[in-house]
Amino acid sequence: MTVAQSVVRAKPVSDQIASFESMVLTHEKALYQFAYRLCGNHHEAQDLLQEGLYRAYKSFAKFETRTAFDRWLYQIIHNLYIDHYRKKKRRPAVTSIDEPIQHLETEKTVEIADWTLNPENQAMRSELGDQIQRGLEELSPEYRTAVILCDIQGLSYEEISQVLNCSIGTVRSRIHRGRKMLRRLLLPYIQEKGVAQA
Amino acid sequence: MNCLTVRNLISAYIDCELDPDQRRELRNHLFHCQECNQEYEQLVSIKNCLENSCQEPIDFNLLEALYARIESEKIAIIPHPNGFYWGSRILMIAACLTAFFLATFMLYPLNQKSTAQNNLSFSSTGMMDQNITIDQPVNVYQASFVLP
Repeated sequence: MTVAQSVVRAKPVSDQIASFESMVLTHEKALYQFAYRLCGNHHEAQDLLQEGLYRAYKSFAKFETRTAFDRWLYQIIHNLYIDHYRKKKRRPAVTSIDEPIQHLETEKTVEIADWTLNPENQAMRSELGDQIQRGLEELSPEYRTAVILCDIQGLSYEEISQVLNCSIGTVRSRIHRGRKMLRRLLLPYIQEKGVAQA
Repeated sequence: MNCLTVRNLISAYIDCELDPDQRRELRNHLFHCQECNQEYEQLVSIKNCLENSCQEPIDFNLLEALYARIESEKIAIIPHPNGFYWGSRILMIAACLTAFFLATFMLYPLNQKSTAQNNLSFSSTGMMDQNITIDQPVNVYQASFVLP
């Protein structure tokens, strides 16, 4: 659940910046989780969060007093992600002309691992988290956002409806359908490993 | 409550988003229906799984990233595409207006008044009735009355 926070408008600019920074630091973990679960990788999540914070910083004067700061940021990040996702869908796949043409059937591409993150950290990442992420990526962005906000961020249906700007009924059906799709993808893994009983 | 209704409301039941009457009815149904109860258990396990998923560590500073973004916006040397678009539009409108005024001056030069007066050197009874002399400048409506 989120706590409503207010920003006093009569404050000077330096105080407003300070309050913005403190609110960002309060919610940074939750915001990063949200961005990461939406994008599925750290680089995109960082870019998304950076752009979202920049938009929020620019329009901080429009931030309504006595509303939840984290919900406002979730809304900005979600809208940015949806815009980016639609553009990505419209953009045709680009192939480099330098890429060698595969004219032999026996030819195989060699996949090079991405070692930009620390390998130890990679190894320590939870298998369950990866499995969940793979499941979430199978969902459409609308279902994914609703499920993330409900089950990972812990928002109520009313709060989610405010973030997604839709009715509670829509939120309810998106969460239900999203969970059912995830069940199809995750249930074999859960039953095999015996997780989620805690 | 039948099974179809119950299955549509299971997620809301898990999230405690139903009103007390619906909750009671649904709980009673789950108690008696094995299939719905199984679906309920599965969805609860999915929710638990998501809730217990590990938190991804943050390996970058949010505020540093924000201020880097602000700085990059300040020192951006590439003009904004919208600005260029509007600039070219304004130039286009200015060019059209200039061409229009030039064409007007060429087609209707300033000494056209005297030649028009010379051309209208005929007499007309209609004009006499209207008390319009040929030396006076006439407006369009007066001219239309005089001319055939």
